[in-house]
Amino acid sequence: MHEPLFQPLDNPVSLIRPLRPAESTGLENNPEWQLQRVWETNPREACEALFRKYYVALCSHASRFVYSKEVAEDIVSEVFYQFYKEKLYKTIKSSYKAYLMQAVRYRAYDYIRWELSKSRRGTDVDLVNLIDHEPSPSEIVQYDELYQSIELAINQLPPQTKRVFLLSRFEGRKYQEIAGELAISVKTVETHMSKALSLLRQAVRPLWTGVLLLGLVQF
Amino acid sequence: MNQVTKALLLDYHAGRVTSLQRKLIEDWLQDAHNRSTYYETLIEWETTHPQYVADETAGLDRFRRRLTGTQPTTSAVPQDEDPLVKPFFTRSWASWLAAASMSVVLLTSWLFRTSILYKTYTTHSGQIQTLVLPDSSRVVLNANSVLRLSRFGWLSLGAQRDVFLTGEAEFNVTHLRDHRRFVVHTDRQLDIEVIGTKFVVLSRQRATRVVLIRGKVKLHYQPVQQASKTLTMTPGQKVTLNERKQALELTTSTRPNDFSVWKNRQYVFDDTPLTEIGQMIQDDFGLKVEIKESSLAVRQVSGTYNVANVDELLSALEELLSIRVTRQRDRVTFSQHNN
Repeated sequence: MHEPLFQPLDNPVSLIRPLRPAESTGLENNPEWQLQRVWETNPREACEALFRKYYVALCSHASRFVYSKEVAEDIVSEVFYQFYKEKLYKTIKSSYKAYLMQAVRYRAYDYIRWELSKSRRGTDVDLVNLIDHEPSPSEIVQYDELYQSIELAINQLPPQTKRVFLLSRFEGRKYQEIAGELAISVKTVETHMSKALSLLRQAVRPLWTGVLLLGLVQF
Repeated sequence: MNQVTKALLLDYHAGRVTSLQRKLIEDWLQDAHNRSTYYETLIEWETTHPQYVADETAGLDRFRRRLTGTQPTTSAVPQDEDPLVKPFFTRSWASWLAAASMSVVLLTSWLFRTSILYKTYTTHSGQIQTLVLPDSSRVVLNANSVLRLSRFGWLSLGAQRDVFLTGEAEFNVTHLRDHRRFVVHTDRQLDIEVIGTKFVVLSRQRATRVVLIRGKVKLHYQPVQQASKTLTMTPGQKVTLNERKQALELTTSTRPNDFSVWKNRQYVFDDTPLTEIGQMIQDDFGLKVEIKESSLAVRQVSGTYNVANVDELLSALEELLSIRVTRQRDRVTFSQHNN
């Protein structure tokens, strides 16, 4: 269902050339550039075009943090809604996809931080101006470390616990359904879930101190 | 920086790099262009190696409904409040929430106890405000001043009317049938008990002073480690607190109304030294005033000046004393003309 590790590379030949930083982000090569005129005349259509283009990738990325399809889709939807409602497309200096990805990561982080440590940043996500606060290189790397350690922690769960956890969180199934499907009691489902969450919490805890700093700068 | 290839980035996203390579990428991210490449590659990686494939059509539908507002809540989750709070931890969440909200209430009431217990009126630089208190007493509050009064018990039976002043204000106190006391508290152990009616109080860094225009007030002064002193003022009297001597100095003013002309945005100077004028400007307009030469500080000014605009006052002083007055934003400098 989710096996992002150890995928064969699609086209190894084209992948080994060094990236050309400046030119590759030039306006003429930027597919978003064609949208520029549409943003002025019909921002809603332009927004929907962006939505179609990046929705799947953004949902997939959010789900690596929150491990729930439903939450991931809510997050991405919320990011697009704010992007449109606050007319952020007018003010964003970096590329739209960079902004969207940053916003999705920010909200996903905020969600799991609330869920796993019962503490939020203290700042309303909506109020944080992501346009002014572009994540620093170390913050970017910390986000990456975070979803990778979550993935690792889930892969290391005992098989049955992992199954229950993924059915419940990722697939959004009810405890009753899971119990029926795996022929176990609801009580056992609950036990597996609390075990999974406590193992997840332990795995992620050392990272809070690092990523937490992200939260503190906002105060 | 050329060592960072697309292949390396893709490996990195999949969590298949060494810590050295990770550090290399972190350094590479210093460049804004590279950060843009990074997000581009991340999206590409998520497109080619998705954790799962979200239903784009359903998602877009939901998004459209949200935009047109036909469906205020598009999912089981109320979007406007907190889109991310799920009933996942229902039991612990509920009790946690109850405890948290209780402690939030307690904490807020402690933090804001002053604003709960007192009603506060504040004026900014250059702002003069007329207040009507609940007992219909009138107060004209000069600039940069704060008047606080207790919310509770102010008009409850038998309580005295306490107000706390920092800054400058003219009081016109209404006498109540039950002869309830009206007391103005200053920051300097000096309280003014009103027997009836109109007076001006200055309670600032530069001086603490009471001028009685009409009626009768009783001053209560509590010097440190001394018996408290009481003094009853009659109209036209001016009392200034001498903090060094811990004493009240009483003089008679023939024109007590001069001490409240600020409410008409006027200053009346009567052989007033420039240092005091500088302090008045500092207090009322929030400007930093500096007097360059000590010879200048003792120059005196008399007359009535309109101070609706502080710059007008400054240029009037410049002309009158033939000195140089320069203003740079919040800083005003008085200096001799010939330098």
